[in-house]
Amino acid sequence: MRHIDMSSPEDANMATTFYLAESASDRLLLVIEAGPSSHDDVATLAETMTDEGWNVLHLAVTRIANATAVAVTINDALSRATTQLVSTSTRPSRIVAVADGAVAALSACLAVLQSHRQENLPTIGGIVTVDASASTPATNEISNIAAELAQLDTLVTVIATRRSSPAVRRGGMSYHQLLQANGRETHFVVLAENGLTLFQQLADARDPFGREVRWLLDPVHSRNVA
Amino acid sequence: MSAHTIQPDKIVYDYILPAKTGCLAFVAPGETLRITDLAGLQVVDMAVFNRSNPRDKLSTSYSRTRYKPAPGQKFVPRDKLLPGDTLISTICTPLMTIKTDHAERVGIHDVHNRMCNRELYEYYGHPGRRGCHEVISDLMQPFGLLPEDIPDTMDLFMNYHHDCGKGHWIIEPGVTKAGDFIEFEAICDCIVALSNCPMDVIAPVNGSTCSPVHVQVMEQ
Repeated sequence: MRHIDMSSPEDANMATTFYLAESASDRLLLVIEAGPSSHDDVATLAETMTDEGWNVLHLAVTRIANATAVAVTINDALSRATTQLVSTSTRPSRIVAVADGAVAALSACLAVLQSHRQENLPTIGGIVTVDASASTPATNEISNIAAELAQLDTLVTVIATRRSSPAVRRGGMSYHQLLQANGRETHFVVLAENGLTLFQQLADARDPFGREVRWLLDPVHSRNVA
Repeated sequence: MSAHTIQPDKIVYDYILPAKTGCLAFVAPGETLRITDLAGLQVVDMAVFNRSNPRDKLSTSYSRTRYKPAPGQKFVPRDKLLPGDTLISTICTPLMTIKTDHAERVGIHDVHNRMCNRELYEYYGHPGRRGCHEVISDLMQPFGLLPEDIPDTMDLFMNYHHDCGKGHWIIEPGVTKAGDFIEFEAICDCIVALSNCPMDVIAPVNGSTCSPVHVQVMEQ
């Protein structure tokens, strides 16, 4: 598996690794993780997804003090990954971001908004948040971002929550329903308690979460002509 | 609160399935799958698989004919499936029970006909179109199933009935109204593959236009 360490020596809080698909691909999966990560899980996820034809940009953020600053860093990494892809194959046209945890999700949502606003950035077309409504840093800020995201008619979302917290589930469902009310394509899924980590579930195409995220990556419909 | 209102914190899966699209719902034992026809007259082809062995899959004919009558009740091979009836697999595993059929006329679901497919569309002058068979095959491909492994589906809300006098089956527009739904309670761990039927040519299966349906899974 080909990969490039894109971490910036000036930012000790963020480790960025870019895994390249086995063959030239315009698909990019952006994974944003807050807190410590398991190297094995990341490697398994990256290996599976690159086999399935996705480039994977993994960002591990050890400390998020400012979601806006992290969003800028995410888009900087996205921009550098795009440059890398253009030099080897093509500009990414299908980008899906996955973010675990409230602050990571907030940063990712801001990055999505920036990517839609700025012409020089490739547009992020799908976002998967996990437990985005857990212990929120600033409720008003999240409400404003949620309302703005709901206006993006090309954005498809998966709102995932862990099973154990009813409050987080209600929060996720509430945002999902807001998107539905705006006519947006949105999936709500509660993660299975099957002893697997989030990345293990994501890597498994037969897992309900892994399957749902793949729906964003490759929708199954009758309009395909195989 | 209506008896049919779902508590938000009981929902484990929720998705409005767009027209001409497919999705999977994973339903654990005791969980309920609800499929709501949002606009009315829309058919959804449903295949059910035993998650622990996906080759063990829905048999609509066994579901009609291998049920066990209650004591004192006479066995009759059924031509339709109603609330209380069980969906049975090809090796007679009980998969799901029909919990509710919320429509003015209950039991209007086809359990005899096989799905639309590429060949059907091609034969009738619509080459390149994919049918429910192709959609469900794609959905089940990660589980190691091939197109030839896909069973006959239960075609929810499809108005397909037999005319004994004429000696053939009749396809008519559905009878569901907006908001009508059907619910299934899982007996074993199930994978449910759904294809929101794309048929808008050949036969009036889905009324005048294909429309979205709401797919929800609720825990107890």
